[in-house]
Amino acid sequence: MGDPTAAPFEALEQVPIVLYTCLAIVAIAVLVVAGILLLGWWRALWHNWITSVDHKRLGIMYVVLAVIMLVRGFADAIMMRTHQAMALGEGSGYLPPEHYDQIFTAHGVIMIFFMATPLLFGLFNFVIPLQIGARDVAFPFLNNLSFWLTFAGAILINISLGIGNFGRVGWLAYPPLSGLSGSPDTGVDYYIWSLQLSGVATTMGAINFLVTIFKMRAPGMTLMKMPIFCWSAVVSNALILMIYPVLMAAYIFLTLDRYLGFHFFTNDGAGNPMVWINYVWVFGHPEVYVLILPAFGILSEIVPVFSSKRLFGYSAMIWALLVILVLSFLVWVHHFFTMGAGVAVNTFFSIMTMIISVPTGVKIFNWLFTMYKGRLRFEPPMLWCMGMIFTFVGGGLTGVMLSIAAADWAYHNSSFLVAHFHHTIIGGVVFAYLAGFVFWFPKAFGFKLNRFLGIVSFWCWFVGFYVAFFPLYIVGLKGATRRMQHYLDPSWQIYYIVMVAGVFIIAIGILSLILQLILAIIHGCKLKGNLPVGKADPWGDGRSLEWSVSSPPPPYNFAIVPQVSTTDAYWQMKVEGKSIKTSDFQPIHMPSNTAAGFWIGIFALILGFALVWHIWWLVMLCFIGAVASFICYSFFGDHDGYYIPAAEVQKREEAFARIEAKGRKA
Amino acid sequence: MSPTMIKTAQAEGHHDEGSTRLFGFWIYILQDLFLFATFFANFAVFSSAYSSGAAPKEFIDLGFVLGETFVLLISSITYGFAMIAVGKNNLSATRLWLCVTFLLGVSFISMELYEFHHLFAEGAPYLRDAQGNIIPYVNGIDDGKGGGIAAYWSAFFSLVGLHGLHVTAGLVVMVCMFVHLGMHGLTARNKARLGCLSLFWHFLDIVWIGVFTAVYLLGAL
Amino acid sequence: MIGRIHTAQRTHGVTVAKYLIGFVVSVILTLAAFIPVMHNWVADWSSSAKVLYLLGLALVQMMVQITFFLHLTDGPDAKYNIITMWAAIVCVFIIIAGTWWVMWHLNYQVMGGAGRIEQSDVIYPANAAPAAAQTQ
Repeated sequence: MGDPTAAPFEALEQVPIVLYTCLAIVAIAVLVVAGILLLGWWRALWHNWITSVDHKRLGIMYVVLAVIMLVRGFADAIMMRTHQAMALGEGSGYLPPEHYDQIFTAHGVIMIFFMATPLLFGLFNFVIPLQIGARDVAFPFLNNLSFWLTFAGAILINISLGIGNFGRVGWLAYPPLSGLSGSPDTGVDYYIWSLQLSGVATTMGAINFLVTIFKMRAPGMTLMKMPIFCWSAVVSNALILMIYPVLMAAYIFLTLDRYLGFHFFTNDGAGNPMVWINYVWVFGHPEVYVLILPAFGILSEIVPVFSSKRLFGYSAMIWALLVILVLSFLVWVHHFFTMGAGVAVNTFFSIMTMIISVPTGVKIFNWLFTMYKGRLRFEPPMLWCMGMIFTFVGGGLTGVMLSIAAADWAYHNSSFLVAHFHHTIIGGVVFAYLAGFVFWFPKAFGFKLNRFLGIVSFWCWFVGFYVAFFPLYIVGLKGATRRMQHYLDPSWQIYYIVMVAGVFIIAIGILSLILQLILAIIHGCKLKGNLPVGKADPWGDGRSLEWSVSSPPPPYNFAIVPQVSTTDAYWQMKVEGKSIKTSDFQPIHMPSNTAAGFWIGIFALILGFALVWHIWWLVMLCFIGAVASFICYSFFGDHDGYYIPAAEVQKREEAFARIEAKGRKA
Repeated sequence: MSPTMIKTAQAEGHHDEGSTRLFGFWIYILQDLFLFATFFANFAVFSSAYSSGAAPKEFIDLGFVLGETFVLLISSITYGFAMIAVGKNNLSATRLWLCVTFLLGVSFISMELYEFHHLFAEGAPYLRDAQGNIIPYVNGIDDGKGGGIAAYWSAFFSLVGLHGLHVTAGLVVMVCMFVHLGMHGLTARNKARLGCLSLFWHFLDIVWIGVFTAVYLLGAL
Repeated sequence: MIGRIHTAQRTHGVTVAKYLIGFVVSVILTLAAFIPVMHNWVADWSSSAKVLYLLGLALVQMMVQITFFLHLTDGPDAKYNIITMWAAIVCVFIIIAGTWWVMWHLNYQVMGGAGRIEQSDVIYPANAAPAAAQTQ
């Protein structure tokens, strides 16, 4: 009981792991900043990246953020699993409950909101304008602002490691545990404010992508000629638009409970904790579809390329996406069958949940039919895709088991459930996003990631996943619950030990990925950051418009806005034998860079911190600062943009034509 | 590359930019609608959850609420008149109607603040102990004594307050637009911005219909 | 180029008449909702009749204001505006009706009695429980 803002440095003073981790993070940060300053990279960083409104740059920054947060979230996972392997009996394991509980909360929050979502937005940002033949997204400034707000949320959640503590409430923070009486500390406040920041950013991004796709497609590209990845983006962003306000509302109510003595989710004062659970799952279920549908979209792009065959069932794919859009909004109660809504409610939602597997199945079959009698090439992106199809289907099957409401009384909140959602999220979302990352990397940078390490990474993730999560199904059926700091049955321990081995296999997969990135960075350093104009279609057999421009693409994407007449627009261009234009260009209008998004992000970060610690004068200052920055941008920002002269466009296109000609001769 | 062609491209770009901005803002409005929908759903859930706080019936002054409603409704058409002036490229009429709308909006907020103050002064929302005394509490500190705002009133203030905050934000934007118009006149960009503000202002009046029906009329029955 | 300008004017050239019609109808619908309640003319109606009447008037007025004030059907995006509007209306219905339906059942099954929240037993002993349990 008492003041949540008491004892901000308790963790640093009393828990050595926390102290060493924070020192290490601060040391790395200082080294990085010092390195940038000493190498004189600060100017380039500011002008080319921090203030950039270019969707390609912002996409890359989102992915960088996601990879860093993947390491953070995975560190949480390793800690939990190594602890669990030792946690037989009371007082066992090296993580006391008040620490362990923060770790599983942070793991879930970071992986969903600060790893998967930024990685997704990175891919959306980079790929969508290129695939629809546009030069940028609809609202480039908003795009920049979205990134810096997400960044602010990510920093805020990491500050909780050292100053104060993080929530001990699970990734969806059920009250009354997350209310003031159950969590009389700053943990839930860090949770709320970092997620409000990233939620605002995500919502703005959804608006941006929807308007981009609806309004900025190349002439001739009707919605029914658009790549499936863009369709999946439409559905995913529409879902984001629908559900993030519900989550924001729930967080506002919890904030009012914690800050102003309101009684929404308390047990007294006529509060009702059950309605929180309703709101967060109205958000939470479509949220997983927000993540998985673009994964399906990525597969629909990669599988045809590496099967050298057109996607099977284009319209069926779109139909399936739209049906899933509607159904995903009608299944949320399956997350709380056991809360007691009764037979009528449970039956309705149980049936809806079972039905949603049908359109998903349609998509799986379409990929299989695409591969059938195709000329398969087992490059790393294709390996990830095949691993995804195999693994995701398994995860989906356990989902159908869970959808049976009566059976769910045995599975709910057991490790069986934990295994299921990791099965679908790692097998479905992570595998597909990594496939997309490896697939589009050469488009972004002009060279491929190391192939051997890519194959190692895939196989370690694939094998490691099964070793790390299948025993979880078994131990869940034996009675192990989720979020369990220790257990008493000795026969379970062997399963936890096997799972630790799996986690370390995955760790090798992640290390391979990081090594690939390090090698890529070294390659870039050798070129002093000036990546040469590379050929358009490094994988070969590209079908959509992003493969028609150079790698990396020019700042303006398309020198001439393409005219589209079919699906697989680039494939059509190859069939028609279109040559690259090298003369008669117009100056191209580009939006100007701006620092406003960065400064609003900084104000937002300090605002969040001040709200957590109840520093009210700082709250007022930063709120006014953020609003004033936005207003200043409207008055003094450069809204007119600039023109790239025709001569420069010509030079670039000539270089591109030369590379392409060289490639054809070879 | 003749200057005419560049200007054409620019003008065309700006026209398209206007409709893109408006469509984007419409999508934002829909997202705001979902936020309000959740607050309405929440209000419905807690619509009888008085606990030891007061019931709303004796505190609802329907005449006052009717007054607020008319102020907001009239401000909606004065903004409409401002948009007609924009279409006719009449800068001074635009600024005049914008001013009138702003004053009506300020009146609405003042009336709402007065109403909130009155409710707290009467002690309506507070939880009371067995003797009927308000349980004292400190914001943000859990002392276990059970004080605070009853669930019904939590839902009331959050819903009506959210609407009021949106109106206030609209008023701030109106002031900014007034300055923008003074500095640059009715440029394509300012017209697009006024179009977005128009969507916002009318949307708030539409939400208010829901508020006065669900909160005040149904609460007074 | 000239044609484009005309489109622009048509987009922005909404008439005073439209706004005034919308205004007058809104005033009528508002008064039709307030006056019966203020003068207690609906006293002997059943509960659901009162709710249907007032919600019905509210929905009609919302549609009136959407049609006459929001001008969604002008402009180049009219089709998208209307499609997204109906999609949003369906979503709003699911959020409000879905929450209502689920919470009604949860309250009935879990909180005891036929509907609303009862004062629960004290879970945290330090919280002083106000006098008697409230029943509706």
